[in-house]
Amino acid sequence: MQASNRQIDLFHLLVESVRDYAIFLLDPQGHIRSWNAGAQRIKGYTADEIIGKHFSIFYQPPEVRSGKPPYELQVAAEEGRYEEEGWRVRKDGSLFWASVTITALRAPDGELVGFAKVTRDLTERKRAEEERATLLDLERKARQTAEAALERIHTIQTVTDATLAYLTLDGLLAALFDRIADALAVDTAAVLLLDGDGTALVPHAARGLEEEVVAGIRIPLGQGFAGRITAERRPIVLDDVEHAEVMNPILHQKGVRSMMGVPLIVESRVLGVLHVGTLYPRHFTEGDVAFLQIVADRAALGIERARLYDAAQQARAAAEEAGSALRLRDEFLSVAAHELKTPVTSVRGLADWVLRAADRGKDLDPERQHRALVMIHRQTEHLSRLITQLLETTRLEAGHLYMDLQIADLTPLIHHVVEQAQAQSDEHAIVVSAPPTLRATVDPFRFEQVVTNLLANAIKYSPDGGQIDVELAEPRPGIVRLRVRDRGLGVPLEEQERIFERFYQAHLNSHRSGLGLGLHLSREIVARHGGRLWVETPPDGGSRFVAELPAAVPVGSAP
Amino acid sequence: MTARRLLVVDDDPNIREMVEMILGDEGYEVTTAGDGATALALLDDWQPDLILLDMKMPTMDGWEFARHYRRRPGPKAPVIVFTASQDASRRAREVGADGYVAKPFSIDDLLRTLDAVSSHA
Repeated sequence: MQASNRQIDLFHLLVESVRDYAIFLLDPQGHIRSWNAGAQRIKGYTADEIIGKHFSIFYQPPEVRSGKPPYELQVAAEEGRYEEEGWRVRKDGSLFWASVTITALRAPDGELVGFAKVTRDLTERKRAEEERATLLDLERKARQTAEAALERIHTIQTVTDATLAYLTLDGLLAALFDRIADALAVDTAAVLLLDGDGTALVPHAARGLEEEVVAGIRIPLGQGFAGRITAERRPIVLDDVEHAEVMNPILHQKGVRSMMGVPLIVESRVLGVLHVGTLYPRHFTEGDVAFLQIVADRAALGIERARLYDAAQQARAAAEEAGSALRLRDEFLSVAAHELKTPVTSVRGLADWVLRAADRGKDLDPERQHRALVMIHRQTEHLSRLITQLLETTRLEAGHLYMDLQIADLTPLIHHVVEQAQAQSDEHAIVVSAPPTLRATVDPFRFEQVVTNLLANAIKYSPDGGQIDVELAEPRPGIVRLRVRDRGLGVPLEEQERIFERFYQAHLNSHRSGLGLGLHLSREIVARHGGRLWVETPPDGGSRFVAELPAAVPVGSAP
Repeated sequence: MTARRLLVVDDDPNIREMVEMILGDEGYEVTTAGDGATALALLDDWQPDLILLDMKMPTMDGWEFARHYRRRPGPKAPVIVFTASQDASRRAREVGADGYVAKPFSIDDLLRTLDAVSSHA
């Protein structure tokens, strides 16, 4: 008995002096029946203060109100024990993280006599765990940030590469959009550049907003989203496009919800704007804006470079064109000189011949003298026609071919021209078919030129002679038609348009004479009358030139 | 007596006729052709003492005629280039001609050149 009592005393001593654990007893209702040194240390109450109090004093008020303390006892009674970790309240009101075990105490007959409660303060461990979790979280976030930064640096590098790789603006912008769309996960991207006089922005390329470029929208400087970015030279973020002032209706139509845009600046000159957008609401962060600006700075350099390249290309093309125009002009001058010299040669030689005879007091055979004078006459006519063609072409090119329109009877005009043409050739028979009179509004001098040119061509391109038909008619009311048909070399199908080009000659390589201006000039003159001139190939050979023009020239067609 | 038989090759019928009139009066026997090919065909049965050759002609031009003419067997008449080109002397060198007459010409110049070339021949 002695030994047993001694054992109990030792046990009490053990429980009472344990400082790391609060160990105490509750009666079946939860009132505190005993207290130990650990309980005092952890919870702050002395045994006198706490014994007889209900153990719910250790719980936070919301837990007390929700009935947690009696619930724990109920679980312990039913299942033998209850365990948990949770926040508990000290005497001074501070909280500590407690590991709690409640064990039901039963008499040998099974009657519940109370509960043993063992509590440990794990606040330090809990804090350490939380710190660790926080640190882990921070590390994870830092890694994500670093990865995103790397990704963006890579994008910036590829943008830089693109600005170096693409010499054309279109190629550069397409590559730029690919990279931005990937890096920022945006749905739209666009570049707007200032126009020539720097007063408005014009969309140059767009991804997801292609309509913007097609529509040819112009955004005034200082107005709307892009206009303000350019004028104020700073980025702008629109979280809510629907309720912002944007100039461009296409942004609303396409359902763009959020946008950010940055200025494109090179050496403190603003070139335009780069903007991106999403079709869902998004808040672009400062980091997003800073990134877009870095991309834009590099893109601006590339854009400037591409523009300089374009300008250089254009200058080179213009120089080449000017060079080839000069060459064409030189060639033409050489041809013109040759052509003018040919009739002069005949005139000079024949005049010399007549003079020589006169100087020597020799009588020329009257028939031969007459023949010489006829030839001189023809050659001066030819010369005069060449000079007129040259002058008219020069006027046409300078835009000074004024028309002197008047109502004229074309029938006598045609007969007159045919007479002159017939005098030029003994080997061709020119047959005219025309009504007794045909009145039309024409510039008579220019209309005569057309008929003269067509007849001269008919003679020239039928070197073996033959009949030439000239037909003047009114095939439909209000339409005048002139047809000149020869039986000569004809015009190959593939050359039927080219022969109307300036300086073109159907038999250029064969050194046929002429300035190559007659048909070009004739077509222009007919066009100025509101008509058309073309060539047909009759099935039995030769060619037929057809001019159709309105009898009364419509108002406004003559300058 | 110097050369009197002359072949005129020129595509302009007025110039052919004019030269024929002028040189006919000066005692030349003149034959004409409108292009190089016609001239070559003529030369099969007729030998001129001099050839007056235009350069720019359809069908066969002066350059081609000169090339063909040099390759022909038999005696060759001197060739005088007869051109309205800006640079008649260069044309003459190009085809290895013996002289040139630039169009337009004076009858005196023409006769002087014909005489000079035929006396050297």
